[in-house]
Amino acid sequence: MKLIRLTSYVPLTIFIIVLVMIMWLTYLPFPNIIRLTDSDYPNQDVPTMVTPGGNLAVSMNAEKVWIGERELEIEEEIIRIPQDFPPGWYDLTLQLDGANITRYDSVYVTPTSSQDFTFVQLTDIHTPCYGGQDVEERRGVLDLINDIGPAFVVDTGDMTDYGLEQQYIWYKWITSGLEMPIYRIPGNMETYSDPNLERYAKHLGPGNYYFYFGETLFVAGAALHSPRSWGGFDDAQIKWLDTTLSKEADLKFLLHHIPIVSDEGRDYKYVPWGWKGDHFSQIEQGYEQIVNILTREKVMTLSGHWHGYSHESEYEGATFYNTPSVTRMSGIKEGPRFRLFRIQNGTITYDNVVEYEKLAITREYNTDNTQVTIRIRNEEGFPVPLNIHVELSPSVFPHKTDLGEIVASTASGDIWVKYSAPIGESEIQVTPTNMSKT
Amino acid sequence: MLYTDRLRMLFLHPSKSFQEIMSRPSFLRSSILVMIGSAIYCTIAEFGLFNSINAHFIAGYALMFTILWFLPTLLSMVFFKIIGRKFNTESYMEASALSLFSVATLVFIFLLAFMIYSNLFAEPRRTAYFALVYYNQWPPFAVVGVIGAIMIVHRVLGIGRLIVNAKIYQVVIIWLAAVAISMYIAYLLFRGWL
Repeated sequence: MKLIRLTSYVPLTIFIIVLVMIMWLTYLPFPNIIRLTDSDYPNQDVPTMVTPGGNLAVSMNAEKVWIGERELEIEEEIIRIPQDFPPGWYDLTLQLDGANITRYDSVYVTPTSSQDFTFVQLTDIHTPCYGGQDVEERRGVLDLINDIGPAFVVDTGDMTDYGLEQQYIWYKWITSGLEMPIYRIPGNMETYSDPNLERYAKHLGPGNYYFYFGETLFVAGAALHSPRSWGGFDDAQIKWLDTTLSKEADLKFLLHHIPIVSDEGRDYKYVPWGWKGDHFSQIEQGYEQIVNILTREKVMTLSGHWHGYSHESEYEGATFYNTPSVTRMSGIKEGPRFRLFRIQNGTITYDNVVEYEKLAITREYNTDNTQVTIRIRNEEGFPVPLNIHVELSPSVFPHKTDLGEIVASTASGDIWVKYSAPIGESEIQVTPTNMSKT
Repeated sequence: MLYTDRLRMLFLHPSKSFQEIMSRPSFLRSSILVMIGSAIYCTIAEFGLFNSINAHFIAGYALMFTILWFLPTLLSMVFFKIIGRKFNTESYMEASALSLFSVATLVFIFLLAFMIYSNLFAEPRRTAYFALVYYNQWPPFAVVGVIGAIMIVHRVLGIGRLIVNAKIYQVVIIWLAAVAISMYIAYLLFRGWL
């Protein structure tokens, strides 16, 4: 008896070959992740932060410079921001060769000290394409982050659920209420309908750049294989990261979507090539080079990608944070989450994963808007450092607070109250100094 | 019996279908049917799951689906030969392919209904992947999956008894081994690549 009629298997063999060929032809090892040049920084996508009285570096030989409407002195590419500059967003206008170039909303004068500040890392928002309550809940998470008042926010990718146009439009609405800057990098989901990240660049700008806040360096180093859930660094990117992460700083962070080093491997853990000795990595190309740089420079790497997974791994002096997602996950009872860091004098003094549903901050203004009661419900199980912004009517009297401290105020009535919210409920009264506590 | 009745009979009376396949095997025809079906299913599923079309993923899913039916079929056939069973390999391959494909068709019909409901009529509207993976709407699929698994076991035992003439414990052990190997390879494609 004939064992196999081979001709019967020809179409199936061809089918399998065709599938493999389609996968090969549609695979893009490295999408075009735009690298921001020094001369293009800052801009609307990658703004700069500066404190009143601080210095702003501009890598261009500008003849004149305006922050908002105000012309400022520029000396050796450094602009000194006057102490009386009110916190907020400003356009940067540069006069280059006689022509003015304006970069809208590219400078944020922050009410926060660069020596003692908090920032939020959020990841995996997975903005859906339809509106409704799923989008509104995500907006609620960002509004809570805004209420917490970090100096800035970093979003480590997968902000959309498939990189679709409508998802970017919703994502921008979700983040539009933030008063502070948000720095972003693309994740693997952004490559799924946009393998070369053209749509990402159109909406959100570059994926590789760096910025300082005080003496802390943040490097956005998106590295992806498109359209896959595994990441990788090409040689040019390794070279850029090597140079950038070698810059002087008290503390260095790398923003990256896909975990580079982890003690565990989530449901990828049975993939043998993900294990690098005693730890797991979802990085294919450039793994050894990037780990060498990160361990040499003692970098803190912030990633997401694994949604329900919340972990911190140490490896040869480098620290790798894996932060859970803003999107909910089937089978996981916790709702949207994000990580809150506090940096004091170049050291991380606080990092906790905050659950959206366990923290609430509300403000109740009196009728003439001269005082405010801030109510905080904190069920997180740990204190939460806040920098709450309230907007009162302009007053000739300075304001006082019965809890925490006022760290910044403006003549127009904007006040920032720094307060570490203990577990449980707390209430803060902000009143003019000529009024007794109500 | 018409050729097309083989698939219909698999839902109503699998042993009749297996007898028909044994008398007139045509793996060529059946494999083409399965290939066309898997290409169509994967394309529709990609759109319903994500509201987008990505050729890389469609090919990946189709390849994974092919691994999940063809590889255990091939491996179990080889294992049965190794233990000395004598049977018509083409009948075996065809019966197994059509059995697994018929169950996949049922699951796909359920998925299609879910995708239409979730994308168009549910409140809030969600793409199917979004609803399943993020918003706990997977339990109906678990039920369908269990029903599908029972159907597969029933058909695999039928093939082992009618076509291979093997003992039940041999069928169980061989298929468990073949499915475990195939699932791991599919897992490597799904988690190790995609």
